[in-house]
Amino acid sequence: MRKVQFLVCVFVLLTTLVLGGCGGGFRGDSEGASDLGETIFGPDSLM
Amino acid sequence: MRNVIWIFLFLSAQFFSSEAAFREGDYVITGFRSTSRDFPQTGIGLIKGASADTLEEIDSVPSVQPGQIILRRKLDGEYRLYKGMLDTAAFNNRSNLYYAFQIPGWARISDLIHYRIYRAPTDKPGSDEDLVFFDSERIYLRQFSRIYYFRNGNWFSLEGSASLQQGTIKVTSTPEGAQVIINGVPSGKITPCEIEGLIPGTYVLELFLPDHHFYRKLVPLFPKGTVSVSFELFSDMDTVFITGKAPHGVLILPQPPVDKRYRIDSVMVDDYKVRLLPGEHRLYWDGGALYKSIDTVITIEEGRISFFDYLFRRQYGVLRVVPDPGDAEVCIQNYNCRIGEQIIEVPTGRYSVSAFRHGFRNLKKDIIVLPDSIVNCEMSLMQIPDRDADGYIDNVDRCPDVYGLHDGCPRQKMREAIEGKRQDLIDYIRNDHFGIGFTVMGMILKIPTRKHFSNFLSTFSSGKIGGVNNYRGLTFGNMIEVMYRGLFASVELGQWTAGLHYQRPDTMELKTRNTTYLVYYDSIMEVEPVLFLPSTAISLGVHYNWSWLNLVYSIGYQWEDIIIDQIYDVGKQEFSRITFDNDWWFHQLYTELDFQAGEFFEPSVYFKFKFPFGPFKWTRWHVLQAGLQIKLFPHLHKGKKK
Repeated sequence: MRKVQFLVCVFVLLTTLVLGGCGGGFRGDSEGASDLGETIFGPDSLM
Repeated sequence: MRNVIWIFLFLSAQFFSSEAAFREGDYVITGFRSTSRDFPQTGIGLIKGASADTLEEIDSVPSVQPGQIILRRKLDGEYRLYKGMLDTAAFNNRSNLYYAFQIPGWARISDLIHYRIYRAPTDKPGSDEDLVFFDSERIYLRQFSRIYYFRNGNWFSLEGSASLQQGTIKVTSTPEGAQVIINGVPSGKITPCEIEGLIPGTYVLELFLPDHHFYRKLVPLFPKGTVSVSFELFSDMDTVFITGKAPHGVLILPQPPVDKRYRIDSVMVDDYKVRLLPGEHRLYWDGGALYKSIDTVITIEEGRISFFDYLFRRQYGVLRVVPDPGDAEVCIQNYNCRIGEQIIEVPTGRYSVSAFRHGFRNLKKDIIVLPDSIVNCEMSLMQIPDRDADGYIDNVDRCPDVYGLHDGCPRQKMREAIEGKRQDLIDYIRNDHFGIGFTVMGMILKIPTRKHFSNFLSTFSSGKIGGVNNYRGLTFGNMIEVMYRGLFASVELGQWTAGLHYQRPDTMELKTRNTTYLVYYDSIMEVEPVLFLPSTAISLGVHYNWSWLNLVYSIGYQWEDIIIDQIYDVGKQEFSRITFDNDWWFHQLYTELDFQAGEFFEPSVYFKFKFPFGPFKWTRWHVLQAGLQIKLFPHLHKGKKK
């Protein structure tokens, strides 16, 4: 099997997993995050 | 007269001191290193690999077919063997001249390959040539037309030739039109034909014609010689009748693998085509200790040709090798070298057994394994008096007896040691093939570095923990890794489909500067706060594959969100979904234990640790993961196709 075929398989697998709801983590803080964050993570949590 | 006696005594002392300095064993190679790694061809010439750009490493030389060539390479005092095909075009390169040396009559290739080759007689055994080529008939060396080897206390020289003196084989057959196969490889020619440009040696010629018996002949070809070979092919579809009125039949016998004659009734026969009277005859062939003997009765019919088709079977015995000390490396001819005692079942015959260990003199023995018996071979190694381990035995450099163990004895320089390790690393990187791995199923455990958040998280995780939540639970196919030339890269998905549920009966109040949030569980009103931890991480680093163990270090970055869903905002009087953007850096230490090294499809168990560092927004994590993964190595898949 050639390397190109492997890379295509990897791409397809990753796409499937991402579309299937796995991964993520690219969102920013939502409204109220900095206010609630101090309560949940501690007062010195913001850097 | 007195002066003459003194000169005689001085010369005698010189002679005996030089004899004591080096032994014959220092001029031979007792064992070859093998790590089953291919050697990339880097313009060595004379040899070309079966595949495009690498030479296959071997650990011994059972036999060499015409056209095949063995490269013996010395690196850091160790010798390795590589197999390839002879590239005769190298003899046309006048600027980089190769010489061919006829192997002396006493030697077989399996013996001679253990001899170090020198440009001139020398008292420095380690100054032998780094690259030496061997085939079944010749030694090849670059630039030098005369070479030397040391045997039985004497130096011997070999004269080389700068050309191969190729010959021709003419093949004819009755009937014509048969395909000609040389050494098991189809030549593409059909009888009658001439095969030119063959290097001198012994060839196995086979002819294949559909519906005819397969015939085989051994043909010796001398330098610049022409050999004519004719075959008479018999049909195996039709009965062959012998013309004339002679009341006899013909028996065709197969060529035995060893040079021993058949006996029919009480007569030894010299030919493989025998005329016999009709009736039953007793056929006997003595296979000796190597092959199972034949003792059977055959029936000959008048006027017909009978074929005795037989598959010669080897006899087996058990070879047990016990080294002393017990952790010495034992190399048995045709088998891989291993540490310690070995017990293996082998075909009968003569075997060369070597043992070596650092600090001990190498030992080599020839052992004969007899059929259906156990042969014990004890390899007691003698300790080398080289206590300062500087590569010179102590009675040569007089260390440490004269100079003391560490005062005045030459030691290996740090620079040379570093250079040796650097070469090892370069070799490893060159031989590290492309591989790709997929995790199948695993477990994840994350511990936040912020204690405050850890307490908060425990209120969500105090209930049922499990499922796919990227915190404490299962993972499925969540990582893909790629390895090549010592480098490592991975992509990891933090799966979060289940989330962490708040199912406590009490209500948690979260007071902030501006408002108050309530976290509570109410199944009737379908209020079920959930905490999600989606993430994606990439990492880049290096890896080192040592046998079945793969060690990885990489540095990576993790994009992560911490999402709390369905918490009640008292100020706004509505349920909210709060997202915290929490990205962080990590060091990753990663260990893979491979179940079966050297296969295209390789399952392995992984253990992975992430240690956070650098800037972060809300919290960092310590992460532990373990599970099962599958690795694929495309270059091994190609090999299987062949």
